[in-house]
Parts: sequence; structure tokens; C-alpha cells
Amino acid sequence: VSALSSGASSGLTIGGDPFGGQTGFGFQVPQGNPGEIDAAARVISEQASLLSSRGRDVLSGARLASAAWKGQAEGAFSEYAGHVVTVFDANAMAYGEAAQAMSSFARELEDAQRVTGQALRECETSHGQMTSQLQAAAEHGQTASTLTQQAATAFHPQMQSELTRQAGIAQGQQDAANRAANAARGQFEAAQRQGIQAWERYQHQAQATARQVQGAAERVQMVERLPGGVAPLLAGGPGGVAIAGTPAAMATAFASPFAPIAGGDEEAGIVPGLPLSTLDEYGILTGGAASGLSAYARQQMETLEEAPHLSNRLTALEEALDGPLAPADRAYAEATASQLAGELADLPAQSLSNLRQLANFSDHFAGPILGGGVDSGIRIIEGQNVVKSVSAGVGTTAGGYVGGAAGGAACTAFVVTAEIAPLCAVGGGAIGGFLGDKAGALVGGLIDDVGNIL
Amino acid sequence: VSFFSVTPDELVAGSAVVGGATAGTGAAAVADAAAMTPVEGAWAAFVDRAATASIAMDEVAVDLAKALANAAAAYARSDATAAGGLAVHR
Repeated sequence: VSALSSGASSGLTIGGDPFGGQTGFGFQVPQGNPGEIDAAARVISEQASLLSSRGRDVLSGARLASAAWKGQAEGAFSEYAGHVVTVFDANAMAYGEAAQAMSSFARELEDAQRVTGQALRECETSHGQMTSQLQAAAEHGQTASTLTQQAATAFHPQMQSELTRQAGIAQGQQDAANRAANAARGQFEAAQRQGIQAWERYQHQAQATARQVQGAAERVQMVERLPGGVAPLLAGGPGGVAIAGTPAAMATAFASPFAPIAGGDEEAGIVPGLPLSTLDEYGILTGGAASGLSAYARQQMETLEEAPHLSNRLTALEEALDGPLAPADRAYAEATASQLAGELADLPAQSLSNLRQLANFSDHFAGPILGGGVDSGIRIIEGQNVVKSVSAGVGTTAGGYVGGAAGGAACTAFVVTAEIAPLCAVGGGAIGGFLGDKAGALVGGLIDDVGNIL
Repeated sequence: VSFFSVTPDELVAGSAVVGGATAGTGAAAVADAAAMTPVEGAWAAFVDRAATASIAMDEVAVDLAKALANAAAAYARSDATAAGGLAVHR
């Protein structure tokens, strides 16, 4: 990055000219430092190579991480990593194009400076020669004219002859000076033509280079950041760093989704929906969700162990069996009552098992993860003794936590009867989705078991 | 149902490789290299945009590496939880 930062330039080889390279001969000597331009081109070229290398690193790392990773979150992660790699590659190409253009321009500038500089020197020399020869020619012409006039007025024939001879010599010198001046003019015009052509060629080359560089700049892509950014590294795992807990935020987040759907038959002890419907009643929602879940689970275990588990249906069947029944109906009622009695007998043990899991989850998983800031919570919609739906707030939370945007995450797991279908949206970022998958599966499996039994 | 078979180590390894993409380069001033030439403006604009893009790319590589490390940490944590009795899809 620093290689691309602005900085002071060193002295220019041709520059700082108070006349800005103007020559007075119809062309300019280009300003600028080819050496610095070439060095800058090399820096950008090295950046292009580095970007290619970094892109390959990102691709390799993403493939390494994704190789054995299956799930919707992996898809989201791979998609994002693919975007990053694409940007790295595109920018490497754009950098390379700019570097190539500038490298060529450095040579063109150097060539233009050499040619125009040489042309300038030749123009100056030939212009000087031309001027001096023209001056000499004028002087010789004046001499010849003077001598010719003197010869015309001379009385002595010998004197007249001598003056005429000298006038001829001066005339010859004038002619020679004029010829030299013409030669110098030819040299000057040739040099001037060279200078103008080189200057014009350089201008075209510079304009073409500017267009190339501008095009390269337009092709430089800005990589999209992970949605919501990335939170500090989690503690306790290979990544190592700390988790911030916000009990107040947890309580608020839990209370919101639970309140409108709370329900359940509290007198019956444990019924679908009761775990969450009674959270508020027991003050759990305001006392820290994770520890509250553990405490609640343990309390419910005690309740389960003590409470009689009666079934209205079983009672009705038993009452019906005491009365008159048709043989077929009696047989059906007896079989059904037997089955219900068996299921009810198994209920405490199974429910206890699941409650222990809930407690374990709260202690070992939900606590640390939810501690990052809960966005929503577990939501149970009850009906017909089947847990219909679970919104895995843990997934959302993890997504929000890792993504650094608790409110933006949306990884939800739905439980419909025994089927769990986690739907991980982008909200909390790819890794958030990944965590959502993971936590959603954990919670979903747990709640599913509880729902099936209860 | 989502299935997971990646291990924390794999994510950490991926994170390390991605993190290698942030290797810095030596400092040099290039923005003013084309001063006093007709390319000066276009070059300065390119360098400015490239610098911005490079900073973002470096940061994103760091983000990716950090995110993978986070995932690895979460995996390690959830694996520990699974070892305590929860069934975890893998």
C-alpha cells in the first residue's frame, strides 16, 4: 500500500526550466523524469505481481477452508472469497496495464528529450551560424559596394583597377557568406523539423499513455468488504481473542421475539412453548439469557420429576372403558390407552434428557456465543403438541457477532415437525452464516427433540 | 439440514494462507513520478485509486483470515459442546 502513496519527487532531469521547455524554434523539449517514471512503473508492476500472488493465496486459502465444508454458509463464503479473488485478479491486470504504459512512456519521453534536445542544440548552432554568415555577407556586400563606388570615382587607372579587384574579392566573400548562411539555414530548418516532429510525436504518445492509464484506473475495482465487517477474534479456539458479553442487550433481544408468542399451559408443567413462554415469568429474560436458560432448564427438570403427568385423553379413555362399549370400540380404546400409558411413562426420562441438553447448551454453547450480543432469540410456535417452528436466534447472533452487525444478521433455522431447514441469509456475513448453520443445527436439533417428545 | 465436515485446523490453515495475501511491500513514492508531463493527471488519479483499492484489498484479506479464524474458534467451541452430549451434524 505504501508503495502507492504520494510522496515528494526528486529533482527532474529536464524540468524546472523557467521556460517550461519552450525553445523558440516551434517545439519544446519535454519536461519530466524518465528515470522516475520507469521506477514508478516498476513499483506498479511489482504490485501487480504481488496482487496476483495474493489473489492466489486467497483462492488457495478459501479452497483449503472450503474443501471439507458443506452447507449454505460455505456457499456464501465461497461466493464472497470468489469476489475477492476476482478483484485481486482484475486489479493485478489493471496495475500491469498501467505499469506497461508508463514503462513505454518513460522510453518515449527519454527518446523525445534526446531528439528534441539534439534538435535544440543543432537549431541553436545553425541559427547562430546562419546569423553570423548573414551578417558577414552584409558586411562584405557593404565593402564591395563601397569599393565599387570608390573605383568609379578613382582618377588613376591603376588605383581604379585595384579598387575594382578588391570590390570583387569582397563580392566573392559576400557570396561565400551567403552560401554559408544558406547552408546553415538548411541545417537549422532540418533540425527544427526534427524537433517539431519529435515534440508532436511525444505529445501523441503522452496522450495515448494518459488514455491507457486512465483506462487502467477505471478498471481498478474496489473490493466489497464483508457485510458488517469482522468482529475481533473469538476466544477459546484456534483463533484466540476475547468475547464481549452484553447481558442487557441479550435480555432485550430475547424479550422482543418471545413476548408476542409466549404461551403454554403452565399448570401442566412442561408443554410446548412453555420453556420460552415462562422465561419472562421467571425473570430469566432480565437476568442474563444464557445463565437463565440453564437455571430454567434445571428448574423444569425438578418440576418434571415432581409433577403428575396426566393426559386428558387417557383419562377419557379409561372412563370410557369403565362404561359400556362395543367390542370393537373397547379393543381400540384399550390398545390406545395402553400406548398412551407407555408413552407417558417414558416421558419424564426423555424430557429430562432433553432438558439436560438444554442446560448443557446454555452453559457451554449459548453462553459464549450469545454473549456476543443477541439479535433475536429462539422462538417456538406451539400447536398440537408439536414444535412447529424455531427461529434460531443463536444463528442470527453468531452471524451478527462475527459480522459485527447484530441487527443485520438473518440466519434462521425453521423446524417443521422433525425437519430442520436452516436458511442462512447473507445478513451477518458468510462466516456469520456458517456459525448460524452450526448453531442453528445445534439448537434446531435440540428443540426438535424436545418438541417431538413434549 | 446443513452438514459440516471441516475442522478448525482446516479453517485455521485457510486463514493463514489468506493472511499471507496481506504481505506488504517496500515504500516508494510513485504518485509524482509523471510530474510535468501530459500524463501527470491521469497517473496521479490512477495511483490514488490504486492505493485506495490496495488498502481495501489488504483489509479484506485480513478480514477473511480473521473470519476463518473466528469460524475455527466457533467450531472448536461447538465441538467441545458436542462432546458434552449434543448431537452435531458433521
